[in-house]
Amino acid sequence: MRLARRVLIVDDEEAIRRSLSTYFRRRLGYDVQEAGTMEAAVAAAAAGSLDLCIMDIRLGGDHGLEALTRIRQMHPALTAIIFTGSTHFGWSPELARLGLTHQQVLQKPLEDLGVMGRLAAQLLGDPAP
Amino acid sequence: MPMLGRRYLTSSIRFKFIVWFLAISLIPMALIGLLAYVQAKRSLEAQIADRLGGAAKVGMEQLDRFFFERLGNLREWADDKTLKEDLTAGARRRLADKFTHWVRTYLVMDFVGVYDARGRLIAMNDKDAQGKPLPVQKVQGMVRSGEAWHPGAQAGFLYLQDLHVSPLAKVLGLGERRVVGLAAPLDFGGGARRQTGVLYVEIGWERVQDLLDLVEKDFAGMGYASAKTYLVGPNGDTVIGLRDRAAYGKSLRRDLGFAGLAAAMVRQGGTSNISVGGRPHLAAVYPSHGVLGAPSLQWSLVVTADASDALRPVTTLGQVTAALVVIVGLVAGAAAAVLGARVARPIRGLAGHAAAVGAGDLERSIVIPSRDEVGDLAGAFNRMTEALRRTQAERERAEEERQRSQHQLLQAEKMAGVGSLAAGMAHEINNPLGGILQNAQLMEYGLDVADPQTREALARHGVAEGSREALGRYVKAELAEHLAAIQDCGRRAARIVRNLLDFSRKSETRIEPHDLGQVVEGALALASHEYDLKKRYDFKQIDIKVDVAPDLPPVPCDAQQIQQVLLNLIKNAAHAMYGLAEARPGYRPRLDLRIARRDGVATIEVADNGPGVPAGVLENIFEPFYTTKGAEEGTGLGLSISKFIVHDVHHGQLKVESREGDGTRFIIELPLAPGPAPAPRA
Repeated sequence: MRLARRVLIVDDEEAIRRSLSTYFRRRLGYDVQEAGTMEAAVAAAAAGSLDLCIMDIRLGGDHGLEALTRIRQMHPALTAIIFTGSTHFGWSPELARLGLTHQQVLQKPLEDLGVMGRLAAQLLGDPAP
Repeated sequence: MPMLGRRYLTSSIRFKFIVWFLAISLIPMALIGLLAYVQAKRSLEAQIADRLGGAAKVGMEQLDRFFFERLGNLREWADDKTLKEDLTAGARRRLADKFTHWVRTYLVMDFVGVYDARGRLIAMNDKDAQGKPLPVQKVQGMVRSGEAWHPGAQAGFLYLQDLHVSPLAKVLGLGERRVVGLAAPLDFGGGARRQTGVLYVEIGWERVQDLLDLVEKDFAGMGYASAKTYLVGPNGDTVIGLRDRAAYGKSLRRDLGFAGLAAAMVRQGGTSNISVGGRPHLAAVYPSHGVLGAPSLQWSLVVTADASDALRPVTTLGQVTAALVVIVGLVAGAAAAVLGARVARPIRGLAGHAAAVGAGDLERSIVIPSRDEVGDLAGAFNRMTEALRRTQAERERAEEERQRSQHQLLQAEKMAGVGSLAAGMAHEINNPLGGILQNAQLMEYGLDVADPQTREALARHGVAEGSREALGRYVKAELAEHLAAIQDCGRRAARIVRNLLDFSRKSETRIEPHDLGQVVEGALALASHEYDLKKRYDFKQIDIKVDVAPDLPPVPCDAQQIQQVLLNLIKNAAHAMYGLAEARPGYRPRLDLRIARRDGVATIEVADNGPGVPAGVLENIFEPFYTTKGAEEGTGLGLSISKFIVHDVHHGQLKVESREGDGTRFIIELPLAPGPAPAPRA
């Protein structure tokens, strides 16, 4: 059995962060780390390897992309999913520079956690859960 | 004059008609009347002058002839044999009888006598003087200047003595008698006893006046009742005879008020307009000429007639003419007033109509039955009013349209306000909503006792194997419904927010070059997420083909908006095909997405093999709020928003081709060259 995928879930909304965390850990068997702020996220990323980062954009300010950029510097191979409730945020050239496509942007609210799980598996090249 | 001109310009048509009618009818008539009057007056004056002159001539000639005949009598008598014998014999008695016989026979003579050569009266007719010594009259003393009748007659000539007071009548006690004397030479005796003398006759002035009266009577018979005759003596001024006896001996000019009657004319004769006592008169003068070389008196006969009286026919003609002018003027004026009123009435009607139209009453039309210029004017006016009415109606329609547009604009602004508010709120709502949905889903997982991970968790928490089924039943009976309700409500809330965002996003546009293939793939991915969760439309069963032309350059567009359009089209297609799949077993839903390039545009075709769109629906397919789906499934805004995005934001075209039973094909056309600036951000 291969090692569990390591995912960092960054969201300042605890209800979202916690439920995503539970979902990835319990349902999908990921090794999950959580962060509620940019600083915590960067610190968590620095602590070890990461396969996936689920990043909220608005972390008490539009710091999500900055956090992602910094995490990307530490983990260039990292796969990211933008998970945002912002209506103003869409796919942009900035995301393209980070190597992200349309598919890697998910809008809140997510009506089915399975969408997130399948997207993560697809991006990581794992079999669908 | 300028005031009259202005008065004329500002006067009514009727007034102008009256002015012109009067001018046209009265001026020529008055001119003709005046001309006729002047001409008639002149002609009548000439005629009257002729008659007066003729009458004066006739009167004067009668006088001349009268004296000529009396002179003839005298000459005859002077040759009478018995007279000579009686004179020779000195038979006074017989002489007196003879003279008396003559006087009685001829009636016109008052006295007949004979003077001897020394001027003594030797015989006379007066019977009362018979036997009495005859008065001896010094004839010379009676001779007035230039009238030497006694010596003249002594020398063998006939003589007339001008008017004088008869000395004989005085002698005989007959008072003052005015007489004219006639003298003729006489001889008698013969041989050595031959004597010369003068036969002398006096004619009483009454005789002359009787003649003048006859002349005046002739005038009265001619219709000149006012005609008067004056016999003027040798000085050309003193009246010596006329019917008006009171004027005797008076001066024409000084006493009787004759002005303008020249003394020369009185001597030479003629006709003239003069003034008598300040009143115009016509006068004719005829001087005595004598007859056949016989001596004559230097008298002139003046005949006058009051002009106003004499010219009465002409005056009457003038009055009649004036009356005619007045009558014609009245008739013409009345006709002009009536005609002017008839002409003015429709014009006044038009003026009132125009005023009403000017005041805004455009529903009126005026009826003028005449087919003349006024009728034409009314027709033109009605057409103008009709045009005005149409213009007015158009303007009102435009105004309504403008108000409606304004209302819509306000609505749109309000909606845009709602949209941006929604956009602002969405993030705040989406996070708790996500929390609700995600946690509810985890609860669902956690309560699914059939799920191996749940079993594991239950075991971990010491729930006995046998209790799991009971727990499952409990959950299903007591909790599942409520959990499902939470999820349902959350999803509905999510959908509401999403729709609001779709709406608000219309104003947020970022047009940049994009690979349309990627855009389409993204849309398909979004669609697959969506259709996966909605179990009713099984997206995996649809046979999807994507065909991208190899030479297509990046196309300027807002990728997110085009994705929204594509997602909408794909969802519609899937929805329609799903319905057909349920109704017809063996049906294979198919979706063809074709990206190509054509004439400066990039095209994205979305074609399905679904049931197609009925013609009636096709017409309205892009109308806002038009939907064939149930209220819970669609807002009816999808295609209208799509059309807005393609047309208004991208300046492209969104077309649809469909036949019922033969699938539907939507074609998005996007210009390859950057179009005009996109719609401004709200």
